Amino acid sequence: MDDRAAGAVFHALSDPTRRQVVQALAQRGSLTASAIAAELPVSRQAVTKHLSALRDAGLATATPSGREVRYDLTPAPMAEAVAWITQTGAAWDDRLARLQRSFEQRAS
Amino acid sequence: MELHQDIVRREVVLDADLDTAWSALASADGLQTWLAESVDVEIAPGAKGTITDHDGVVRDATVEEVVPGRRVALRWAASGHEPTVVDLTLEPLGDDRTRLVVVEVPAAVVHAVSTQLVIAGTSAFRGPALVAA
Repeated sequence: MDDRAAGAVFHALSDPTRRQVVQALAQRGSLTASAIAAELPVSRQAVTKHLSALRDAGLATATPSGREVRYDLTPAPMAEAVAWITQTGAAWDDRLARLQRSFEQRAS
Repeated sequence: MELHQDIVRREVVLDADLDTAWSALASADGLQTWLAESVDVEIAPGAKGTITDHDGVVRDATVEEVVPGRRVALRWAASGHEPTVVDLTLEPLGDDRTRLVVVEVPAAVVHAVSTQLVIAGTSAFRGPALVAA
């Protein structure tokens, strides 16, 4: 289980504007920073900063296209983050079932 | 994908009054009956030790906060993994029933969220789960 990657993903997505950038890329794909900024109430500079954070988390890739750079989502780290949530949740389900059983035993 | 502060969150209602439920959180012996195979850390703020899961995974653990009768927060990490913060909070429901809420969140997220709240001027932030008043 690689929760290092999951942590980076959650950190990248903990910002609401960054989540809007992800949403724009998920819906439209292959966008420039200017195109994303046109859709959101933030400056192009802010979008560029958010895109760079998403790249650091492995969530987005940048591809030069003429004089521009186009950004795309890379879904794999997101899937790892979801796997972390699933595994961690299952471990807690087991622990909490044990705790509930221990009180049932005491009561009976 | 909806993302909340509470990335992994579970809540259960225990057939126990608050004092009895707290006894399962307040000490290593109490936690060892359900949390893990072996709990080798004192449940006191700042205490460090290890917690060994039933599947054999050993985590280094630091107790971050203890609110008697209410809450235990700890930070743990298995070797080579990023630390996560675990928050256990009790809420009495009456009739010898107590709700336990568990939240586990990567520590990096807790830091990011609390930084945002500090910037926003919120001073009430106390961790991944807010303690019920």
